[in-house]
Amino acid sequence: MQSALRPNRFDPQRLQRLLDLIGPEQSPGFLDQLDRDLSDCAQALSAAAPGADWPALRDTSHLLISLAGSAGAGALHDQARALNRVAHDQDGARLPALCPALDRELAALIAVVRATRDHPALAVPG
Amino acid sequence: MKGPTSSRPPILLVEDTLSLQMIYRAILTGAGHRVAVCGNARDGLEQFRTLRPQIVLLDLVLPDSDGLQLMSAMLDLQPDTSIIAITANGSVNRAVEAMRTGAHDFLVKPIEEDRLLAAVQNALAERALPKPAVADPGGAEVPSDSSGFIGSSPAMAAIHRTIASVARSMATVFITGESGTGKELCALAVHANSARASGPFIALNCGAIPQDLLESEVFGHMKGSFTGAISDKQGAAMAADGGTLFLDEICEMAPALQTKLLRFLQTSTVQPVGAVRPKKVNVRIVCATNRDPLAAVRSGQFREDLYYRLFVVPIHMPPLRERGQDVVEIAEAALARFAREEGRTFLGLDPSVRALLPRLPWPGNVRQVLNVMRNVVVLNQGGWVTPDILPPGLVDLTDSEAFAPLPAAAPAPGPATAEALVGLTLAEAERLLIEATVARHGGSIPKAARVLDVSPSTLYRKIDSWRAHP
Repeated sequence: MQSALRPNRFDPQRLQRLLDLIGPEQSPGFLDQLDRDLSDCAQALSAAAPGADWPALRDTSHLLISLAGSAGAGALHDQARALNRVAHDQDGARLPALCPALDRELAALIAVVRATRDHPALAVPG
Repeated sequence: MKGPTSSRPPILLVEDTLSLQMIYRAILTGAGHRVAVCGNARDGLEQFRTLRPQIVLLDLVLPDSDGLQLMSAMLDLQPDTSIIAITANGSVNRAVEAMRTGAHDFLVKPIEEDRLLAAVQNALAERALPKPAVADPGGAEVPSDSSGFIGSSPAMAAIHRTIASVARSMATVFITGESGTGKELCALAVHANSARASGPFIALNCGAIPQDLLESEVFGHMKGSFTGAISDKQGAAMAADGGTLFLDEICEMAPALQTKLLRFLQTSTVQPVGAVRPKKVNVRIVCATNRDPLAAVRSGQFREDLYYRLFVVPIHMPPLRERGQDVVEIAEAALARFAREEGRTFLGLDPSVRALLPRLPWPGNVRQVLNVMRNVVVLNQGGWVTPDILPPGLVDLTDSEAFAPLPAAAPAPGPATAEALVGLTLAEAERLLIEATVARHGGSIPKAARVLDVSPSTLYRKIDSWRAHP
């Protein structure tokens, strides 16, 4: 795992706790699903941000708040909250500044999830 | 919580995001609960009809329907279902709407494991409590007791309707309103109409207890945990187990204790000072303030996350000046009660007084009306209450100055130097300062309170205590 891809303020224990709860048999399926849900968010954001599609941004950020928080990605969680607020306020001025950083954090979390899935013998990379 | 659950219907989880569905299901099954899951409103309603669950975990944002509509449909089919609404941080208004629609509790995503389990456990515990003896929303529009929670104005009718609709849920009620508007009575009404009416109602005034004692008052302490802890003390949160904990003047709570209160709300556990392990309690929280809680958040005096945790069902007690003829109803009820207590015979309010009362500003609200009627009863033998037997100055009161004059027990201090106060007890010095500040502001308690940076009710309470013990 390259450190450049590590999400900021990432708490690996949170993701590890989820895997413990879900159990070793179900964990690969869960990580697959988490990867799909996060990737769907990334695609939806890419499609919605350029045209400031506020309902789509609101729905996607709403989902991302939950996913990022559950997976322990602190910075992404906060950015998703900020995006959700911007979408509710339809604040076009603040949108361009938010999206690049959020995209980076989201990509980093997806990378962590994939690394955890592909190398189950290792602990969640912190 | 591990335990036999096979006799209960499963918990129905309606969540469309599959990874989140897997997380919540794992948490619940890991704690011994049976869970049925579905990912949209249509399947949710179908499963609800089939399984008849006692508890539903419901995401408010679903792909094929609004979660609130699904919740209403479920409650129509089975009104006693405990629905725990799930929403994302930033959508707290939706949670408030859900509680008003009849949700039992709400969870904010991302959901903490212990918070999810506590919400389910509370719902199960709530179901085990006996139903309230009286809960008649239709009859709640005009309360007829003489407690001061009286009034048939549209504003009060709306409050009674809100109380009737939220009382049976676990929703935290946040009561705001000026001093003297009846916030504690409102809290009592919420408790009395809830399924926990037979449980304790514990009231704690966060502004009246020294901050260094407040933690012990709320959460209790163990013998020997600090100097002076000569025995174990049960805190208010533990004392309220199975009932309602009313935290008045919540915005006066110190930041450190706010953190502990938040933890308590998230986990439903209390850890007395000096205790090794937390204890589980089942408490419904009602809190109140006479300040603007959002302003307290903005100024950094009140934690934002705690605000959102508490500000679920807001009830604003309107000032008396906005309640039309309610003041007449309150005055008449108070007159009858005080006359009975004092052994006097009053015939009622003269028409001129009935016409006058709604025109006065009543800055002290219901509490001030009660003081006026007590004054009338004590100083007069009986008959009709006419304008000439009302306390002097009341009729001339046209602005928001406090009505009640302060007792002239202590001389006004001279120039404020610390040296001049040496020799006084702390309580005496405090009294001098308060009285001088009130005098400086023409007797206005609210203005003095602003200068002293305390709530007006803190000053009213202190002044009342000086009157009781001059």
